[in-house]
Amino acid sequence: MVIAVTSLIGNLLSKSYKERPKELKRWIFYLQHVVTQIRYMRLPFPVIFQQLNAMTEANSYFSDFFNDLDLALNQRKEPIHSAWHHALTLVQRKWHLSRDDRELLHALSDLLGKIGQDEQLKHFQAAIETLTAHEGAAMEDKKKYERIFSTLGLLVGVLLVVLLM
Amino acid sequence: MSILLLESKNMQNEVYELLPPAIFTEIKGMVASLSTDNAIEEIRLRVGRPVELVGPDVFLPSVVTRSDLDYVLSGVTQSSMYAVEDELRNGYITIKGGHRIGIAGRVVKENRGMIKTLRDISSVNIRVAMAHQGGAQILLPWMLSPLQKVLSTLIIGPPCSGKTTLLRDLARQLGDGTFMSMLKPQHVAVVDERSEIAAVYDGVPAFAIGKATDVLDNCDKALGMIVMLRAMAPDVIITDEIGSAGDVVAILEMARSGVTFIGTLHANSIDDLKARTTLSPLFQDKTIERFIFIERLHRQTVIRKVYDRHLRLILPG
Repeated sequence: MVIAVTSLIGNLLSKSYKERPKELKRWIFYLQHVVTQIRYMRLPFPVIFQQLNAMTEANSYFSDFFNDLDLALNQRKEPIHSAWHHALTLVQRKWHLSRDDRELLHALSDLLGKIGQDEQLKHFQAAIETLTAHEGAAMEDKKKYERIFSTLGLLVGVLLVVLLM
Repeated sequence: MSILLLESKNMQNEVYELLPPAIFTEIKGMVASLSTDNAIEEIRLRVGRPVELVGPDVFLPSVVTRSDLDYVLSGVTQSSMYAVEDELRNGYITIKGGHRIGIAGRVVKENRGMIKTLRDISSVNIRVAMAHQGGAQILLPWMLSPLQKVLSTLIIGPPCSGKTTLLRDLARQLGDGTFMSMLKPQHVAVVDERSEIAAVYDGVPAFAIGKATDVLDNCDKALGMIVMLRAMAPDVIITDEIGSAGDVVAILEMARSGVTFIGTLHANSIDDLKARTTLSPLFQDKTIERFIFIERLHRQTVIRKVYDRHLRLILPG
């Protein structure tokens, strides 16, 4: 029982190291899609987020995020700033991102839709660059800690059992 | 009666969706209490000042706040200022339904002195689009040759005299073949630089502009006329507010290709027109066969004067 619990905790910690780079990669992909649509098509955000809602695979938190954003902008007609925060808050329990990642994604809303094309593109490019740096660091962390935590969970469990005996 | 006027006559969904709920409710209440039947033509919102309704010509008691204006702008730009940057340089944005949103604020200039964008927006003028079907019939006696060919025509008048409304109805009647019974539907090409004539939204014109009418939207007039000449082989090309040397070159090219040109121009008199040196090739070449001056009298567009290609007065005012 003790070994099972510590192994589970170890696996959960290990999973967050495993999933974070994947999630960051997806965020970068979606933000790049936004950049492309702004640069070449000048589509407004409600249309871009509607597209992304259709693109994301079901059962992922990205699907919940873009679905909420799509509904907020296209049906509830909410301001984009609050719609973005609301959608992020809705899904942040399900993700494996760090506090820095989360702050960056929330900060992205500050200038959404308020500036011209060049500035809006720079704004997204800066976010993509930072997320790419985060992804690099997350990959390093994954290499270092994923297996450690998974093994550590089991070992701590065994140690506790030995000590208790 | 007045609320019905607001909701059914010209105050379409896309306009009242833009308004903050409190202002919309106030407008409804105000219109209900009015005895006038004049439809709302414009809703003017200025930060720190009351809402003005042009048409009924009244001011609402409450004052417009910065957040009211932000609410309107968020709807107008679809929360995407970058998507309307080009229109913003012209000072207005055309929204679904063909309604024009005029915007004033602080101009941000580019290095070359051109307008880059507007910020600190302080005034918004929502001009409610009105399609006046059948209005172009007043032009009929002046725009057809004895052989029933549509003549190249410039419709001239001051701002808000109804030029674009006439142009839109002309496109519709020529494209539908209803301008006169002996005239079959014409292939009409509309070059709609500011999305005012057809008000295309998501690829679909907001106004009825004729079944044989094609629209090139959001394209420079001079370039657009040449593109449509090559691409769509039109019988008639229609565009709004000509004036540049490039427009004149394109109109001369239309004439050489046997295509009828119909356009509009801001001016008050034939002397104003002659004073514009950029237009002189049109007079020398006698490309334009009719110069029709219009004005707005008692909320109706009327013809004031008509000149022929030799600039001879054929309908004295």
